[in-house]
Amino acid sequence: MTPTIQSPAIHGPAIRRPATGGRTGSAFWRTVRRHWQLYVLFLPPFAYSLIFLYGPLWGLQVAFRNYSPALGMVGSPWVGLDHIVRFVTSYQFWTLMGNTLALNGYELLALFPLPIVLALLLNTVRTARFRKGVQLITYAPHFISTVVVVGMIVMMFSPTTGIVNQFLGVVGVAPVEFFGPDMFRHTYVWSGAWQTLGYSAIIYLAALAGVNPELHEAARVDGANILRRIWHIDLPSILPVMVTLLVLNTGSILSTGFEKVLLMQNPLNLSVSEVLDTYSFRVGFSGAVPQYSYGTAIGLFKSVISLALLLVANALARRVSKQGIF
Amino acid sequence: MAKPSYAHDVAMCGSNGVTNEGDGQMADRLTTLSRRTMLAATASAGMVATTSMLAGCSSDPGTPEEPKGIENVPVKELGPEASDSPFYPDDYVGPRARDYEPFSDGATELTIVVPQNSNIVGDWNTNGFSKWMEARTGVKIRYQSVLTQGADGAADLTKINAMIGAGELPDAFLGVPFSPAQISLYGEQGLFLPLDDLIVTYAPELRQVFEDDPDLKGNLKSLDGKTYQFKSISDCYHCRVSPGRAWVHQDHLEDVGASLPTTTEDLRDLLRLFKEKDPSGTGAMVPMAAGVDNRVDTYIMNSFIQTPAPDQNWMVVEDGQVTFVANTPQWREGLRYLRSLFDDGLIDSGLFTATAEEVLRMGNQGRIGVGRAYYQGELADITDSATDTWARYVALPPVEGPEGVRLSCWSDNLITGIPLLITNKCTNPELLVQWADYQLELTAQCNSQAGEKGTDWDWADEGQVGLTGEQAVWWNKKYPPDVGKGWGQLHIYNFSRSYRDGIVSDPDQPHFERRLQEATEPYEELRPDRETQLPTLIFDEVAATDQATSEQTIVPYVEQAIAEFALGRRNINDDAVWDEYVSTLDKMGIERFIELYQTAYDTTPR
Amino acid sequence: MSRPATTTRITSSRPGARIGDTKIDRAYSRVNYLVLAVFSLMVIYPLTFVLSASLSEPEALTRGDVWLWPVGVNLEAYAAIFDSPQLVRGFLNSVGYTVSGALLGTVLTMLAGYVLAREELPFRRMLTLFCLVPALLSAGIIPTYLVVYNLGLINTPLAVILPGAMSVFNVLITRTFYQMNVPLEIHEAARVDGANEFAFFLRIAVPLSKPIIAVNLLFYGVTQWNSWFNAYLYLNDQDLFPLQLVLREVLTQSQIDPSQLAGADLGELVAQRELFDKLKYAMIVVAMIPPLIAYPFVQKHFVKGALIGAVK
Repeated sequence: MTPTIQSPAIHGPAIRRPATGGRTGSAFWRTVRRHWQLYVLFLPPFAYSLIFLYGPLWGLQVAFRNYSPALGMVGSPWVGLDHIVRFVTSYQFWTLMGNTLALNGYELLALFPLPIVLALLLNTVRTARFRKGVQLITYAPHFISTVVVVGMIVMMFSPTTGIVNQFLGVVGVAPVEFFGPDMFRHTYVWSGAWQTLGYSAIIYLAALAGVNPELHEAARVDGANILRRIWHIDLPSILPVMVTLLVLNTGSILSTGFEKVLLMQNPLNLSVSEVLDTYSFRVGFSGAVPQYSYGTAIGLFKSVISLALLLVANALARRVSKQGIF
Repeated sequence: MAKPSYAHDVAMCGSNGVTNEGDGQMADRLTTLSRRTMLAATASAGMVATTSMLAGCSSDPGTPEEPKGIENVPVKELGPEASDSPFYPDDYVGPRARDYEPFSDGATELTIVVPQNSNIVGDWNTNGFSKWMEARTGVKIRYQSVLTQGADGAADLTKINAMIGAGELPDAFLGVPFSPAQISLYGEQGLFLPLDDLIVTYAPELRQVFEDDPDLKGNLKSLDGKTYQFKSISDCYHCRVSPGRAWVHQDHLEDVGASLPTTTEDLRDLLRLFKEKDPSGTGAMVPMAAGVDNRVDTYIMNSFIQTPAPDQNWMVVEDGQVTFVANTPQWREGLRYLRSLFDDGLIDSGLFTATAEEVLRMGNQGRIGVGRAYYQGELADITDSATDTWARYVALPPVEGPEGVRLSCWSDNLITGIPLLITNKCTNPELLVQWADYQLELTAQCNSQAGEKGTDWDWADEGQVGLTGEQAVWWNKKYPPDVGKGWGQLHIYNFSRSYRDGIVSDPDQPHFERRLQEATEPYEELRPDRETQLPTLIFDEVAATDQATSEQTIVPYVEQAIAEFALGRRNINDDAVWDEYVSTLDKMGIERFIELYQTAYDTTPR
Repeated sequence: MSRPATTTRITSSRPGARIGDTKIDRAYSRVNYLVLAVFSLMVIYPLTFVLSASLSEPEALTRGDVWLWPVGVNLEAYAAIFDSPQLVRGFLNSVGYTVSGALLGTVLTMLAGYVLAREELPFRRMLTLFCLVPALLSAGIIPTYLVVYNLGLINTPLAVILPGAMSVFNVLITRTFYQMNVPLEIHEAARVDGANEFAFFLRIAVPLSKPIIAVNLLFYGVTQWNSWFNAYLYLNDQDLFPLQLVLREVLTQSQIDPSQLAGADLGELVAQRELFDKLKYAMIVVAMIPPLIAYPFVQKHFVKGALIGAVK
């Protein structure tokens, strides 16, 4: 028999969302009052968010003005939706959206499951020293700055001086243009995997710490092999974390680790490597006068799309796995 | 996870690129990107975009009123030549050693924001030159240092702009690398004070510089015809063609028994010899190298059609009309030539995609025959020894194309350095103008540059020669001086041609700058007419935004097309493909783009 | 949720193959070791390179001679780092910012995550949305600067720690953890026992969430350790600079602008630049050491079953 493990996140049905529905006002407020201590606990993060996260948001009006620091926020002329319209109607708009979705979608597909796999693998290693060693090693590259990482990628994969292509040359394979339009996305995504898997796996390792070893023991006694145990015990127990991360990451699919993209761009791969963030950066900041307003407008546009995507992902998650982030 | 470093911030915040961290990176990149632009801008005409509040109703910028000076204040004149003066060569034009009296009692302390610099300046408030200036002028300054460079050494004004946005203003900014466009914009918006009248009354040294170089005055003006910047000048001869200069490895050249090529076909033969004979002996000779930081078209295309520095976006001036060269039949011929080099196996994708590091690595391995680079140091590490690889690179002058075109990527535009900008918060602007003017005096200039006179630098002896073989003016005893002695190049300076040439140079082992001069001379002979060069432009408010957007569409497209045509990924010999390229440029709005330049060309004060 | 009343094995490792392993178990184990070993080798390469580069002669670096092992071993770069009082002070400042930033961020996150995990709380979804919105919207640098400026925090250590102290991302993850590990039943039981929310949070919820506390401390600490931007933006006094900002300043000044070569002794400048190239790697090594030292302390909380004992 396979042990049936309930997902720990599923709670008794009796106490689900008591605050909603057609209750009488007084009963509702009684519930609120009963939880005053919780609201007090929430006060510090609430105050913090209000000051440091909401405080700056009034600056979003920059997107609708021609902002100049010399004139100040309110003194800068109001231009309405001009910046957003200019962006949406720009020649490159659809190319940019396509490139952005392709690059980040690929990254999400590749780099979302891998840390989970790594964590599951690490979690089943029986030699403590080996496991800790692998964890430490794979975590370390996170601390190498992007500039240096790209420098090392170029060093290894350059068509002219790279060691990989020199090796390919020796075995008689034509040099591969790892930075060319065909390979750019692969080089970008897989070098990212190489740098970040270990760090990203940490969250799942922590989640796996919540799994009761007794369950594994019981399953072993029942004759379940390791793969079944992972499938039926480990995976369900990290499912809520997976869903949370997946939804959040879907919301950020328009965003790119753009410093790395910029560093990896060259005239030949621009047709696939130019993404929203690099474009907005170039137009917004590389000119002689920083175009704060245009940059903010593109950011706002992205926020709206991201919010929509996030809501869709959240709704899907709620339907499929019975959980979402809100 | 899609976002590898999620603790970096709320991944989704980072997503907007507008959280602190994200913006940091953005600012970071801003500078990385602009490095090329910066270098190009120093070397040739910077293109100036500015948004003008007054654009709609600006007075005719062509005829600004002449500044009259400050009323009821006697005009300050040049001081007498100092008793401790150097020997000047005949026809010396530039800063001279003069005596001045202190002009302030130090009653008011002024605050100046300066760039943080721990290599040369150290602590600004205890720096030797700061003390020297205070003693000589009497002006008391409190310096506040801010990091104004990105990790690649280019300008990063994030913090400065935030300070301005918060209204946290000093009396002045010194050495903060505002672009001319920002100066013009913020000036017109009232953040910086116009200095025209103050200069007439209080700045004898600067007035002298204006007299020495009549072009200068107009060039410092903003769209509204006023001068907001007290600016440093650097008449850097070798910089004028840096974005288009190519070099050839002399030993390799001799090894294959060739001489300097003079035509495009000679060049092809030379590259072929490099390829076939492999003088590097590595089996991996790179006949010609260039890359993302050093584009090849600024050299090669000048054998087919006049091609300016990268920051000019392929714009030149024909009879007062701004024209775009990268869609002309001659341009196509140039691309055909590149394609033929590719077909002959003489170039590969690295010519367009190599990073500076890759090029340097190839060069250090001795593999580069011809290289497009600002200076030799980008092709090989510079060392003390003149027999090392870097010193083997000599200039490869432009070659003549099949139609007889042979031009260099030369720019006669003014090259300026860092500015002093006085803010509207300052109540004693006259003190700061005099203070800045004082720095143009020769002794002050040398003290800032080189440290303490007598221990770090001194006047040249009579008979010692400078770069051009004439009487030298000054020399460095110890360079760079110890940290905390001078300000390096963070003062207001006047590096006139004579001053630059005035450094002592041993004829047997010439100063490095001399090598660069020699590498520049053949290019000067082939420079295009000054009237055909695009001058430094200032765009008005609407144009500046449009310009930035179009630029980011058109420029990457043209760069990409150069590479693709050259590497056969698009067929340059197929008329349909070429027509598609030209019509795509039309769709991208090339006409509007040219129009923006034309308008700016017509309205920018000169 | 059903849990065994007693736990007999709360061990972290299951040493070696055990009786009862199926064939699949054994095959899995071999593949597992192999995959992890290969991946580690791939990852260890850049680390080795950085270390080797920091120990090599600068010329060997720019020539591209350094592939794996150092060429012309020397400690110049490290000597330069430890000679610089700025770097040493920066290192100490960074430790301070990292510790306080990690603590503050973790406390805020635990509070928010815990409250948002309570499904029965009225306005819970609204509060979640409240946390989520600023994560999607952000107005940029200058408005944030104004907030910090108006609070009078410019040029204080608080300006380094406070902006960005709490990440919504971490809050939501933490909330998920609470939902998993502090089920309502426990809470209901405690309530019956008369424990109030504060006591429950401190005595039961917090001890139950050691792994997520560890993760939060690590993530906030790492972010703070790696960051320079707040310090750059809000600090004027160099004595307050964290290590990463000092490193950044060092890097900015290693660039040579050829138009400014007048009067420069080039050889010396270039030698300086080469040292910087190398310094870059040495600085990465130095900056990497504290997070690597800290990691095992975090790691030990990821031991399987670590939570079970606490539930009793």
